[in-house]
Amino acid sequence: MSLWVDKYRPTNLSQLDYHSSVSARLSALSTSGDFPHLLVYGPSGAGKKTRVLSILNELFGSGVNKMKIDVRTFTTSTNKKLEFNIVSSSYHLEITPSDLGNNDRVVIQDLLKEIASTEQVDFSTGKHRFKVIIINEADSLSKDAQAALRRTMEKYSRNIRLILISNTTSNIIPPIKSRTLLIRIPAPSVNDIVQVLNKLSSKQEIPLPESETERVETLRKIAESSERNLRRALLLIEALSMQNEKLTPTTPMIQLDWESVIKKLAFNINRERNVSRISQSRSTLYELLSHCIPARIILKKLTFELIQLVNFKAKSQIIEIAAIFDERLSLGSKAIYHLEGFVAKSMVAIEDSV
Amino acid sequence: MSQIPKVNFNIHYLDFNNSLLGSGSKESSPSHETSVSETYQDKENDFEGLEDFNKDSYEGLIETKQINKSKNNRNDITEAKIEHDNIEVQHILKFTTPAVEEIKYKDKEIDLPYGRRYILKRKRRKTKSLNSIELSRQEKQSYGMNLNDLYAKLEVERLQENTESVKGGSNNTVSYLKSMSNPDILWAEKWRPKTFFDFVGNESTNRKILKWIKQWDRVVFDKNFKPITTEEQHSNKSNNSAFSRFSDPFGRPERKVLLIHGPPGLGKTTVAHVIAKQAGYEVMEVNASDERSGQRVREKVRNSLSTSTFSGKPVCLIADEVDGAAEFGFIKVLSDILQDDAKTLQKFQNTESSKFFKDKSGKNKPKLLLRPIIAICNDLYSPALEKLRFNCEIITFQQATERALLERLKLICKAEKKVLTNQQLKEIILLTDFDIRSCLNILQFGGLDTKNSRKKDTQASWYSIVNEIFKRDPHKQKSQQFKEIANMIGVNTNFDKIVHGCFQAYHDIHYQDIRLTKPSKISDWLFFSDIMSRTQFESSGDLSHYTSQVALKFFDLFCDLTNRQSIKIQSDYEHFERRKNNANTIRILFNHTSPQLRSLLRIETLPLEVLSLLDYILTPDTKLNSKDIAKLKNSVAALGAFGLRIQHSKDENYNNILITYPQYTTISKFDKALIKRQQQRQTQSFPGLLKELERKKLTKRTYTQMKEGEELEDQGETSFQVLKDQYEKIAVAEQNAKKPKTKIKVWVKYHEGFSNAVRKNVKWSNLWQ
Repeated sequence: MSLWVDKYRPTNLSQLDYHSSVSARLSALSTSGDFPHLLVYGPSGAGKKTRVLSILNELFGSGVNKMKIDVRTFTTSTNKKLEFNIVSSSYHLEITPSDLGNNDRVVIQDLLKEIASTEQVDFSTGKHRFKVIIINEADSLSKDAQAALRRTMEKYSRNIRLILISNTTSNIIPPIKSRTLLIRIPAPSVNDIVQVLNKLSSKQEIPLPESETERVETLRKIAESSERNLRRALLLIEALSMQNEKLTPTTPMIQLDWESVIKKLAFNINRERNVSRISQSRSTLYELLSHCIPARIILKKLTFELIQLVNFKAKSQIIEIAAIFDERLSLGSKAIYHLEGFVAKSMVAIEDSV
Repeated sequence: MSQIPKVNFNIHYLDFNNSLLGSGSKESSPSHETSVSETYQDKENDFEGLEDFNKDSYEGLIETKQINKSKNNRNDITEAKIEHDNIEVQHILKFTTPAVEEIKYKDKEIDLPYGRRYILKRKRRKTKSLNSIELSRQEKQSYGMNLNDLYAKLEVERLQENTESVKGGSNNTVSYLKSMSNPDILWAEKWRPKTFFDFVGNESTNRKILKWIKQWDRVVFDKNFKPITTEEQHSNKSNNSAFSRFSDPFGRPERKVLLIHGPPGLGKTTVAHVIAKQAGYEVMEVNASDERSGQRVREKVRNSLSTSTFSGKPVCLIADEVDGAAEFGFIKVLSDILQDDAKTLQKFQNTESSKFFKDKSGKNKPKLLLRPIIAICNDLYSPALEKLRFNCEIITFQQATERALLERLKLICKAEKKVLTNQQLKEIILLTDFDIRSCLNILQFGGLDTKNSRKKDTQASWYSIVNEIFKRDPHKQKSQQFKEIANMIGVNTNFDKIVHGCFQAYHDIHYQDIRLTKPSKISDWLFFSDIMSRTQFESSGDLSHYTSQVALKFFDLFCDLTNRQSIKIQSDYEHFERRKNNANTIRILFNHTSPQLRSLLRIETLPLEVLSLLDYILTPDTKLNSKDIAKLKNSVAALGAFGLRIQHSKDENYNNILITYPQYTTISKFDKALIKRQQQRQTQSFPGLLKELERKKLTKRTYTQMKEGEELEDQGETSFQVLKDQYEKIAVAEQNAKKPKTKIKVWVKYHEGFSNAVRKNVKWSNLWQ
């Protein structure tokens, strides 16, 4: 009873479709008896979580799939009450400390200690006497929280194992990296996605064309427009098959609204470079920000849209500028300053190259 | 509630001194019809009025006050010792002459010591006026405004004009006159609006509140209130079909709590109080100064909502400042009350009304909410309000327009004899961010000095500094002006606001630039300011004062001779508010998703990819053939996975639409037209989804029954291992049970209520043999 993304998700390692070498390594890990702390990283929609849950399934059996959500409250040192959601099964629990922003340290300190100090009593198999804690969005953990984490990892390693999931390793402090086994899950290639979608169509009725070549052609188109993000590809194919009677290679793809807004912005920046255009782009940027699109994603998308439009000389310059402003975005806190700065500077760059 | 009667009086001025009313004014005609009606709720007000009458001598103002007949005011009137058979008339005359000593009311005739005589002759009430009352009643239902109030407003305005023409000076609002006598109180208190017509700004919001509170009239003021009969309901529906689809059997508003929110100092509390009073309620205020934890407040609130006060007026509970971490207890009490009410309502709808009211004794006494509750807060999204929010009619308070506020301040300045220019007043308004209360505080205490010292003492506001930065003075050297501005910024320590103001404004001013170098240069400096101001929140030391240099850079780059006019600095507050709103919606959405899906998604991906595509998944393109059933099922599954509910709602044109709760379309779509289109599509396809949901609910019920049957099988054995096995068995059985469901549509029901229905071991497969 869910979306296809969830419904047809592989639940154990043998069902995984691509990155077979990673799967082999993981299955070797799970059978080896002991289990290290893991740091799983890779781009969004590559299948990190699916793999982690598959490992858990291998370790503990299907019990891990019976998950529930608890709400816990924490009190900070300033007596502020914080609510925090935890997804858990009887073998593992999953937390997203970055939900609490700067207070994530409290969760790491209180919750992990609490779990770590109670020993797991498993009456049935006695397979593994530890509980697994999955920490989502580990790259947005504050430095304090990461510092709190590193001692806990060693001290209580008898009772808990951590699996950190993040998009990059660059925000993670070296001591944590050294305590974990790093596993990179790269984004699936277009062919991988086509293969997965094809497999899906055998399980779920999808109005795809009959002939093999057209069928592959259609799937390839879907895979390409989802930017090597499998989750997005699966959602897209579901949305498309809900909207259309028949899927053919000519079926128009669904454009995400925010992406088309950025596309338009890039087009306008390239076409017309003056002060009033900057002022207009500011309101567009505000609009994007208020729709909860993260600033760095806006910058990234805008950069890629721009470099498709401009000439060779400007390309390299724009990428350089984008890199500078990406840093500024992550150092500073006023996104609109930097996004607008990027627009202004790239206008200058385009102007110079013409 | 007794309708406020609208009565016209003919006043014949027999011996009238023209000078009193000003020459040439039309009021001086011997037979003139005045109908001034002013509603009074306040005892004090009436007494004050009488005292004015005796002692004070205001010039040339004649007020005819017709006190409405409502029982609430009867006490007041008897105390005023004015005898009248049917309708009480209080005639107040204010003269330049010394105190009036004696007035006799004889058959609507007034004698004054100077030989003047007034005869008040009652006008025959015509059938026409009865009609007008009927009319006004209907008006009231649709607009929530009393027609008489509107008349009163007009009349008050006219009176004002008259006084102005007489005195050529102060144009005080009538209700303000009364508070004038006491100079020692804070202006913020002194000039607090006293009637509905004194409010500044937010007119439609105020009307909405009034309308909401008027909807309680039926329950509160009708002594032997009964639920609305079906006939009435029909007539109501036919009358205003655009009106709410929802109808409370007692005629109360759909949402029983009114939640007002907005930034401080806009008059939320005042509005709530005045409107509650205007509607005839006694206000009971519970604010943060009261003990509001759990049990203690529970009894207090319950008592006040179910009993009446000494004055005989019903109570309206105003819960002020309900956002705050310490308010969980209080919010709990409120939401409990609402829950009880909803339960009672449900019970009522299931039983017959006659039965329902008999059952009043003992524990089963219906806990119906019979009094309005108004809650006030600053932050709508504070976690304490989470539970209450969706049960509330939410009213957002916005800043009054600059012009309206300016008018009011000018009025007050005039009355208080302060001479300030428009520009200065405008600056005060901007300085306080449209906070009326703090405007008045500044006026009272900052404005007491003479003009010169005021200028010297007060630091220039960030707003005026920003304007200065863009102005290039032709008579000074640039370095000279630079120094001055540096000084000015140094005195005002609000660097962040100055820089942000510059950033907001620099597109709107003129500057010389070739090839866009200036905006790109300033972006580097803005980065510097961002980094510096961040240090405030880090432990390594505050470096934020360096930010002031960025403002100077703005001067260096963007100052221009052509910028002479002050410009209006836009605020990005709106964007922040919207972002907060959207982020909150996303969070709610994320919290409702099923655990499996939740562990798969990151909250960030919701606005990025999931929600836009979910739009399409939830609104399948159906043409109602066999394939579409599968599509519907899919959509329902998606709906379930995200824990979305389908709700009835209204769009801005009051069309009925179906939307999801939480409503996320505003996040997934950018264009207004697209949002609208999506809403239309939702309205088209959601009825199908609702049907499917209903069907699913039914099958689910059958499942649980089956499961119970399975469990009964092996009751004899108790060993632990078996128990564990059994759980697995159930899981398997569930799996098996699901499979036949899709293929064979046969349902088996055991005898409900007979626990020993299955005594011997019957396997599921046996049933199919």
